[in-house]
Amino acid sequence: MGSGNAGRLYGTLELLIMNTLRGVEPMHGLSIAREIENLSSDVLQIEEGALYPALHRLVAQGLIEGEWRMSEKRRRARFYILTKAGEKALQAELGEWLVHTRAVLDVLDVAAIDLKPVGEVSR
Amino acid sequence: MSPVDWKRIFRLDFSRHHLKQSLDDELTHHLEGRIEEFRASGMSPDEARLEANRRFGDLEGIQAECHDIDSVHLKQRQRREYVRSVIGDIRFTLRNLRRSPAFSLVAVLTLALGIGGTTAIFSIFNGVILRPLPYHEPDRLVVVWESSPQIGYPRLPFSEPDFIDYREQSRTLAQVAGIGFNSYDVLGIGDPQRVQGTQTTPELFGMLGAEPELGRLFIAEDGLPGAEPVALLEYGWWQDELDADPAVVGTSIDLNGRSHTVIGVMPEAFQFPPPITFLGQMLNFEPRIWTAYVIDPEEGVRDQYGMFVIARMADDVTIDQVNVELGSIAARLAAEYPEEKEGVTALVEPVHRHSVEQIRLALWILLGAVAFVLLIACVNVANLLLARAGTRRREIAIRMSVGAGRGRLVRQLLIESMVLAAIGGVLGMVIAVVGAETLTRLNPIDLPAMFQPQLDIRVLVFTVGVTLLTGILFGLTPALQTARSDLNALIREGGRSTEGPGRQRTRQLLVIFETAITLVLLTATGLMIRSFSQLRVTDPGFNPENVLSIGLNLPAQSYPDGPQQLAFYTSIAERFRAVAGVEEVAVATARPFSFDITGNGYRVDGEPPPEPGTGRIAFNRSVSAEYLETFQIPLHAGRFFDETDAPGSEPVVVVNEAFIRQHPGFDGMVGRRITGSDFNAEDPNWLRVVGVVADVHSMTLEEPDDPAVYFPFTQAAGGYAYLLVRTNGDPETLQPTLQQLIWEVDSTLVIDGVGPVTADIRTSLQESRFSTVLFTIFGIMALLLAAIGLYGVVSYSVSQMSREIGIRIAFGAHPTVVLTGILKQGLILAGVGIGFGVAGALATTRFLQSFLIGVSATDLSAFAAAIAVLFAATMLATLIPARRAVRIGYSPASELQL
Repeated sequence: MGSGNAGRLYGTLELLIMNTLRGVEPMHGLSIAREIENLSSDVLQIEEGALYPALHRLVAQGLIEGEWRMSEKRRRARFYILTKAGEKALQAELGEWLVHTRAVLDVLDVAAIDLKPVGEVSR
Repeated sequence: MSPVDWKRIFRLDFSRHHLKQSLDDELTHHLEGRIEEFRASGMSPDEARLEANRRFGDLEGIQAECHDIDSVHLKQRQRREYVRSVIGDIRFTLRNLRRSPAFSLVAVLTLALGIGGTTAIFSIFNGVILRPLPYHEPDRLVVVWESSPQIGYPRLPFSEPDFIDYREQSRTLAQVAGIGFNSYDVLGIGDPQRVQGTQTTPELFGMLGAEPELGRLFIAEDGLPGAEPVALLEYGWWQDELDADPAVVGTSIDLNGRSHTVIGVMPEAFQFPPPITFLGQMLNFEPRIWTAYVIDPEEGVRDQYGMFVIARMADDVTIDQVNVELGSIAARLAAEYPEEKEGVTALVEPVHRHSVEQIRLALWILLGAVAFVLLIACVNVANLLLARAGTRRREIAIRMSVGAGRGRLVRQLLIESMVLAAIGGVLGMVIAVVGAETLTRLNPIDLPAMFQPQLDIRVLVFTVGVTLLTGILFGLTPALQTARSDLNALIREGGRSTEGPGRQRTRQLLVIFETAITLVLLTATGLMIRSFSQLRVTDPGFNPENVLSIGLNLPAQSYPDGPQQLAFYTSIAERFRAVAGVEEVAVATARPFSFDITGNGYRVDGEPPPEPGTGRIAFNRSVSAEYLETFQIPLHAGRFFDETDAPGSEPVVVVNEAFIRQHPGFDGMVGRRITGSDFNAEDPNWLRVVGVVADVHSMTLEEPDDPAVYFPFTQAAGGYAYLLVRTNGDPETLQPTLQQLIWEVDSTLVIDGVGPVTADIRTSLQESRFSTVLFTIFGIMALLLAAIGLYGVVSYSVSQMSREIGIRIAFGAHPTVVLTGILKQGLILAGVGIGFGVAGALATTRFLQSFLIGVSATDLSAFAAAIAVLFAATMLATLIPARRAVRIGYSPASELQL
């Protein structure tokens, strides 16, 4: 879990959501879920329901906005976009996450880790 | 695509129900989407549904979580929106006000006057009544009095032996201190001068929680007989006279001929005593010096009362408990000393209440009066708003037609009122602060020292509260009126700005209301003015004009007893008489309006001895033979003093009429004997009454004289006396000459209190004058405001009817008829208002009765004057617009322009 600035806690999920929404057309919750799945080649399987509290939290914080439209299936759905504030927050948060991760990798000395194929990762 | 600012399209008015519904839709969409996916990949509908639900998770839990997040967010947004719309309303109001400067100016000024006046009075109220005394736990402090209601004195100072006993025996009073007020001739600090000072027993300072600025306070030893005399200096005096020299501690100064060691200086903030009333007068006293009260248990006289007592109640004790205990101590003392103490008891009063008792009522009444003014101001502004609302009907109609709710409009109008009130309130506060400063600085109306305005946080809170209340008061009527407007009617009327009868009726009612209140206020003002002017011209019973009073205190070393004192005063009087311009000179130990009071119980020869404790007290005045002529007091019987009344001859006295009334049942008092001592002695000191003089106002113009016994100065001289000089011109011009003469005889004498007697009388009128002036100011303000209010209403109706008037005149109606019609309208409004006002005045002026001297609360002339003044003002207010109407009459064409 990354720690945010100004006391906001950005879980990884929020990060992924915001990043997914960045620079693209508005997407509804299902599309976001699918996109994350695709991009991670199905490694990240999230409990889908958890997506929605995250989305609503982000709306409450003003980082994304929702609007009701007709989806491709001719159904009423709520589409989300990243706000300007969200853009800024995302930049900042990504930057921090990257720094943090690099530091961890440095400590762990990645080259020395024997990367097993997916599915056999031992805990 | 870069994020677009969707806020414009984004409509934020989800209600709670909406939220839930939307959430359902959103989650359903997701689930259905997944289900389709799975079906597309070959699962059966049921399997698909199951898998979708499994992947989703706890549906209900997630719904609940999302709903919580959404509700909180919604509330936040709603709050923010509300604030934003209120701010928008405020900005809109300010713009509007700027666009109609005349209206805004009048409204704000009216409010400022009302709020400012109220704040000013409240600040006085605050300074006098609300401010706690600057002592430790002041509400536990009490004044202790002895009391003998039978002889007409429900409050008496203590006698020294009683003080000792009560102090020792009381358990409910934790600390008891005795104080006395003195004047001291001071040598050793600055020039020889006479200052006021307080004697106190050592408990006082501890009781008040006071610490010295320098040096130490009194200790028990300082109060024992034979102790080294010590003194404490007051801060301001020490600063002025000694330049705050810390080395003063330990030095010696001479007080009334005795050497005292200065043991310390009191801090600047220390203020004692608070004003104490005695015999109906406030003793406004500012001590420069404190000395130790030395009590000799052997020497005290039990029925000589002169010591003021202040005490601190023990913890957890109530005033009632204290009074009960004091009563039982009094009973014990009465049993032990029946002659002196029969019928005498003791009681306590909270210090603060006691010191402000007299002015409390006066201030409440002043506050009431100024509240009236504020009310009238509110009515005027309400009327202004109503008039304005009339011209904004179109705007309101449009706003309503595009969806602004009625509630929203009412809110906007209320905000407008609040903004006006706020601006008026700030301006009013400024006026009040500046006014208060100027008043205390310049003191143009001779403000009594008690009435010092105190501006602090309480005044601020009060002003804010009053402003809010005011805003609501005058804003409510127009706002409610608007709320009831009929939307359809408004739109149909279009641009015509004729007013519905309902609105005009409201304004008329308001004008009637404010006229009524104005009459009440004017009547009260009239009563106060009458009372004050009566007071001013009250015959004091003597002629104070052109009499100069010079106070002297002969030091005991040079003038140890009667013969020396008499010789001195006689020789000075002779010298004075030789001065050109001096008509007569008298010497007296007490003069009118000097508050030097000593008294005794007296018995007339032939009267039965009084019951113990019920002696009849009369005041002692020792005066020279010229006293009567100097003050031109009428002699009613017998003779006054003359050269036959010498130190060795029969002791004679002259009494006043009040004394005769006090001892009824004698056919003529001249020639009888009276005595003031030893009621039960075999051979008392008899005094022969040789004359009777008229009563004289000796303390206030309100109260008649007490019984008095005059002694001839030749037989009862004193060191402290007044030289009373009647001059044939302005007495103050002779002042330097006379003072010089005194110093030629004895250059070390300190002259205390020089001035014309008329100045003292004037001072005694201070409080009355102050109240009267304030009432007059309020009355004038109210009158102006009410007249403006009436003018507004009549003027408006004239402008409404201008077209109609034009038509009528064009068709032959005589302009006078039109004029009369308008006058009649104004007359009716004023008349009804005055009528109600008279009724109101009759009901409320009774509360003023205690301030009215010689005037009844229903005095006809005051009422008549008030009615006349108000009537005249309202007629004027009606005439001006009426004349305008007549001018229309002479050129109706201008109004008929279509």
